[in-house]
Amino acid sequence: MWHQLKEEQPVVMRMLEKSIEKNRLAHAYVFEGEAGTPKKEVALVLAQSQFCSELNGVVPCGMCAECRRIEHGNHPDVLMIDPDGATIKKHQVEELQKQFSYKSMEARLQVYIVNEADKMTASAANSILKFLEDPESPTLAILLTENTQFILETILSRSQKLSFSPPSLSTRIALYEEKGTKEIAPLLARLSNPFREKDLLDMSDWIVQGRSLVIQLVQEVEKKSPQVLFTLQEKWLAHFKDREELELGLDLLLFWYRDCLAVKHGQADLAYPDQETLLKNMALQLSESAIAMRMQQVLEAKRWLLAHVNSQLLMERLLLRLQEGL
Amino acid sequence: MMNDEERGSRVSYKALYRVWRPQKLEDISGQTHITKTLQNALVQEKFSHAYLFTGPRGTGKTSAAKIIARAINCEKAPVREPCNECRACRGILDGTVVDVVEMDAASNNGVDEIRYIRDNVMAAPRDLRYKVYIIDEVHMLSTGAFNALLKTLEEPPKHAIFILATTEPHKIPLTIVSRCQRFDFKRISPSDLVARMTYILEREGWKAEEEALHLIARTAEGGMRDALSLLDQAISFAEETITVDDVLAITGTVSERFLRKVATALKERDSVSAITFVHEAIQNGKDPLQFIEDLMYYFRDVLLYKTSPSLDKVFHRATNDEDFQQFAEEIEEAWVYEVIHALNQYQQQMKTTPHRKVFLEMAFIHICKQEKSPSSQVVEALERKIEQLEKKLLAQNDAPSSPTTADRARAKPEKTARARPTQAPVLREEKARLQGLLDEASKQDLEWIVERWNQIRQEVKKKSVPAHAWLSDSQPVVSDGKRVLLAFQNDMHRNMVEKKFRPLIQEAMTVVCGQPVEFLTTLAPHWEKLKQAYKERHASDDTPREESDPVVEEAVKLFGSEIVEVIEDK
Repeated sequence: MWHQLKEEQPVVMRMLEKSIEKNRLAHAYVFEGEAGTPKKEVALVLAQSQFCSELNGVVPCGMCAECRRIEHGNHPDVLMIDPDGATIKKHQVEELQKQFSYKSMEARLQVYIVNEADKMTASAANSILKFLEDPESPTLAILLTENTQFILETILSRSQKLSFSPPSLSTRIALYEEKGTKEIAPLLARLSNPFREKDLLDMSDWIVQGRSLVIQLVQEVEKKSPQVLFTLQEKWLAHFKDREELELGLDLLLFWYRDCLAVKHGQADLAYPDQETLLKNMALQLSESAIAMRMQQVLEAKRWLLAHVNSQLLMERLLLRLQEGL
Repeated sequence: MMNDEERGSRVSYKALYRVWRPQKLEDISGQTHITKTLQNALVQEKFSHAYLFTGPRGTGKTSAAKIIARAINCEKAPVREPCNECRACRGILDGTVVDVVEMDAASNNGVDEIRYIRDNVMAAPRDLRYKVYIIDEVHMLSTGAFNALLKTLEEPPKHAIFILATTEPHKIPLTIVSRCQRFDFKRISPSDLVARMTYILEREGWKAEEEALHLIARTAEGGMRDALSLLDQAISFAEETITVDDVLAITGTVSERFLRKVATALKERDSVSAITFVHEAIQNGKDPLQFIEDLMYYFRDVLLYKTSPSLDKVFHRATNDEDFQQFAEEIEEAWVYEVIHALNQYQQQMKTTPHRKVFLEMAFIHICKQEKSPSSQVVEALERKIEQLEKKLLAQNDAPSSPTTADRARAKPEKTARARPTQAPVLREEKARLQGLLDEASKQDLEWIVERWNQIRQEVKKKSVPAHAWLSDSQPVVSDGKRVLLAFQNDMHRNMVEKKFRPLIQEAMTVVCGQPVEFLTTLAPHWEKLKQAYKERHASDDTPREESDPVVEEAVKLFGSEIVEVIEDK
């Protein structure tokens, strides 16, 4: 597991390895990275490396009783806090502090992992402050978050921040191609992360259809054909039914225009690699700023979508705006 | 001292900012206006019964509170600084004394906890002279708790003092503030941060590049604890000496050199390389949001420099060296304002979307495509006038210049009718022109014209819809900036464009490009062959092969080997 993570997150793991080797592991870390980056996994192996009975250098074995208990969340000295409903409440932090005021059960160190730490309520976050800075017993705190902006400055200044880089696009594409989705691998890789369980592989048929819809739609848009509104009504809305699906659809549309731009700039990594001729043609018709404007329209539509705007009106507005543009 | 013991123990490594928490008032960096006042108050035993310490994170509020608690209880009091050696000081440091209470107001924010204090404060101290209540994060107290505290805070017993500390003074009721002596802690200046870090590094026996420390200090934004956390991380990460690259890797920021590269690309309106740089940075694991912020700060520094070169002390990203000065002087101030404005706008939008990279790219395109002129309305008006003038001029010129156009128009059909070597004179001219064009053509010129191609077509469409229709069959394939070669799929389209619409299209191109651009036409298959031949010739330039008749070669290049038939004269 350690080695696998090291391949995925070389910088973070190198940082941790060195800290352990030099016996300079901090008492509080903030792990920051996009959804899908292995923050929790790293937090767990880090905990394992502190308890494992058969350490190989700094690498935990993953087989011994300690490692297995941590992996399954049964270790008495490794606590995990998850949001209770929408937020992490103050009483959860208080419970944690109470737990930690007892001497540790078995080992000298106690570890707590706060999942989605940005979801702490203001009072929970403030409550954890003093505890984070001056714990009574040796403690390792790991806060996981997708967005450090919503974390108190005072918490950040008490901890070391490690940023997880998203897995590179090419690795993701390669992985999807291995899984046998040659045609839409570049799209899937842009939409989701094959390293995590929540990927879109099950929906690949749906995406293949969505993809051809996008291609049809953009062509009609750029030809300024009035047909586009019928396509929207008959096909697009029938295919991208609810809000989440529509969001994916808009993403697909966004990637198309992003590709246009890439083709214009002579870049190679396309989301629609087999449509290069069509993309080239379109890139020729459109100026750089026209493409940028189209992307902006799509992104704006995505924002409206988040505000629960009627999806049909939203799409109609978007398409008309795309057609109006020079 | 206790610090040494702890540093010695292997089991519990302690963060630098905890090990090096100041133990004396004079150790607190960058807050002399506060420490002096407090020292004098301590010596003269004129300290207040309630203090309120406010200021951003990591500026020494809690540290100062703890020091005061020791100083007034020190056995050698009145003193300027606590001795940290007597029984009282040691007791407080160990936390074995019950009379100094450090309370976390965030966890104990109810009326009940304050009532507990109120009841306890009456009892005389057990081991020390004064009871000290340090209430940290005091902004988290509930309204009820604040009000319960009011009376005690106003008139506590002689043996009790309160020290309240918070990062958010605006959340404290005014009735509390007015009962305390308030001290505002400032952000610590980078030079103070560097001085303290250097001191610690010396004591701990580590080495660091001077520039790396400055980088840390800038990133810490005035918080000593932030600076020491980063330093801690850098020490763990670095091999021997802490280098700039180590710090850049930890903070996820990009180097100044890289920022300059991107800024220069923007300045030159070179969106392609700017976007390539972004791609590169993100591939290296940099955060787009952080990147756009760094860039904003860089341009801010440019603006500061333009305002006054002596402002370099408040520079955030840039160092005031020669390259920077030159860069700053070449930029228009109005443009910098616009860039910062645009970056700021995109940064706002970026925060709510997962497609950060896309926003960054759009921001760059937006900046690169901005018109250079400050007030576009005036320019537009002028442009319209010039356009009208140009039209008049062209109308006048048309009459005398028409023969040449007609000539060319006549030449074309001959050429397209599968040229034979007999038509040499006309051909040679065409050939030479195309050859010259190919030799002088460059990719930039082609991009330049392609970028405007859509506009040109729109311009044509405005004047004549059929012309636009005929033209849409063609693509610009090569250009040298003054001439452009259009490749048509269909011969009929080409003929129509050549015969009927040449002046009209020529004019549209002139209007859009702002300079006369001539166009030549060919057929797409011909172009493919021409390109192939040109490439082959260039490839074979290095390894000269057997020389053939230049005329034949040219002809082959132009029309392809299938069409050209070589008949020997003899």
